[in-house]
Amino acid sequence: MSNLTQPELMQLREDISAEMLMIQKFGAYANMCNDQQLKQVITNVQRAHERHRDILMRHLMAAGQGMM
Amino acid sequence: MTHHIEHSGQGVQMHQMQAAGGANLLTDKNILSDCLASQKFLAACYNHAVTESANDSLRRDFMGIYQEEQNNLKAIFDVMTRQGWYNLNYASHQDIAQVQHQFQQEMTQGGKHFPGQLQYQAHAQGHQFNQHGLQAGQFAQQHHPGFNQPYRNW
Repeated sequence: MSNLTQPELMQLREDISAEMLMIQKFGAYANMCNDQQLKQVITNVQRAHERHRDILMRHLMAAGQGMM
Repeated sequence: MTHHIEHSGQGVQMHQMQAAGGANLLTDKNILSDCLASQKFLAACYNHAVTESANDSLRRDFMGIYQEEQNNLKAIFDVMTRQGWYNLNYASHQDIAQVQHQFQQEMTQGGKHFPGQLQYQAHAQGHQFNQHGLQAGQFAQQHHPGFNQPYRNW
């Protein structure tokens, strides 16, 4: 049960959007790179963005419950 | 390579490059540069998110993600450096000495003292700006008019 403030909700919205875009973009970039080392670095960061998105989604989905 | 401009149904202009072998429109350097810019942007977002957080658990998670984005930024920077794509612009000894002198000067003016002052003064005495043949304070006054303010007594 968490009470989100308006600014917090705004932040979650912006940051989850940003992370989702980064997941797409870094994925595309990893595909485009020919160098294996670069591919690996980009893929690692993409995975980090996936974790971040999941963390923030958990906060979002837990919000507003038990408040009726 | 041929380059022609098409107009789609919505009036959006689209560029199509037809390269032999389907070469990328972006070089590896372009790609990494954009990744770097993205990480900088994200780090700034999360820095801001932390300032907006009232909830402890949320704040903690924003801080953690912030740290990871900064670390990822560094990782990309390191890769680019290894490829020779990043040129660090190092400050000259002269520029460093000028700034060092500026603050040593400011901190010892007006006879005000602050904790650890003596070690700063000792450091200043043997130091490189004296090589320029200037008296302590003279250099600062030449280049920083209106600089002589009493040290702020916090």
